[in-house]
Amino acid sequence: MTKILIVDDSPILRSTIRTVLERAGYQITGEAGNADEAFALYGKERPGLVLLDILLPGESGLDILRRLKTMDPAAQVLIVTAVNQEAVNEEAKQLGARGILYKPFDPSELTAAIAEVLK
Amino acid sequence: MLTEKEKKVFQDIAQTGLLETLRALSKLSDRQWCAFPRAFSFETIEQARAGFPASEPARFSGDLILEGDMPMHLLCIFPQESALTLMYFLTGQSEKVSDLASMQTLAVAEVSNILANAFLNVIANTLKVRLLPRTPRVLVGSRSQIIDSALSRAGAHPDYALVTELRLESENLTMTGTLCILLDRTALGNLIGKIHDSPAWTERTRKIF
Repeated sequence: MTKILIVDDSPILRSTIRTVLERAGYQITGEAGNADEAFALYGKERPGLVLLDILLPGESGLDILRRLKTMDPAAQVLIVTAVNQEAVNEEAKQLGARGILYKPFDPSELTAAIAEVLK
Repeated sequence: MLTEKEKKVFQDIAQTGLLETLRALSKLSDRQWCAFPRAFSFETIEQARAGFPASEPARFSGDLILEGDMPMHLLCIFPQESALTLMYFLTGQSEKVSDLASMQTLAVAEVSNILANAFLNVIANTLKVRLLPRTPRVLVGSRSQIIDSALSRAGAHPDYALVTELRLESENLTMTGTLCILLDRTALGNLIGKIHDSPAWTERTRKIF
């Protein structure tokens, strides 16, 4: 069973994602609202997948992705964001994100994106 | 200030941005929405503030701040009833939830984040720039009070306001909202420069001449 860490500053979005994924049979290993919480949980739980927002208070999701891939090059990250800008998409890809899912999304789009990344 | 031609190009970009915003709202709420924008206005901050009734009921607004060479505020302002509708779309919960104000604030923050970014994505991709705002904060008050609150944030000194008032309709539901972009002279100058460098400007110029 793949453990998933959710990193998003919106408690509503985190709760929605958790509900959808638990119903789909995934194990949510933790929820983080900023970089400090994300790295603390990542170090402790070593999740198989990180769902990472880009717009976060303090360090951005792109900064977190860069640090995470330096710390653990095998880290699997799916960006989940409302930002759909060519320059940002390109940077996320170059930093090693496995995919990008744009908000708002349907539950089926979320589970399909995760299945694709974990394939 | 913007020339008439620059206003038209920006209006084209803004209209495309509104369409994307509407698409995001339709997906978020799982229903189709039609938007009826009233006149797009470009004013000084003082004119914009004076244009809103001083005694109107409190509204909720997401305030997203962009930094960099085009610093600006994006305000997505909703009256109470529209904020409740948005909360329902996002959480599935109605006004019967116990901590209504807190839930409504969270919902307005997230909806503003999604809608304002749908708008910003169009500007960024059209002008070939990168526009990443800070995470939204929520302001409450009349629209002029909301503008004042945004202005009071340290380091921000906007001179101009681009205002679009929207009426949104879907089957038996109607929502209203105000999209307001506050920016200073330097940001406006940089924005005009980017518009001039963009394919949107070339296309507009070709159409005109």
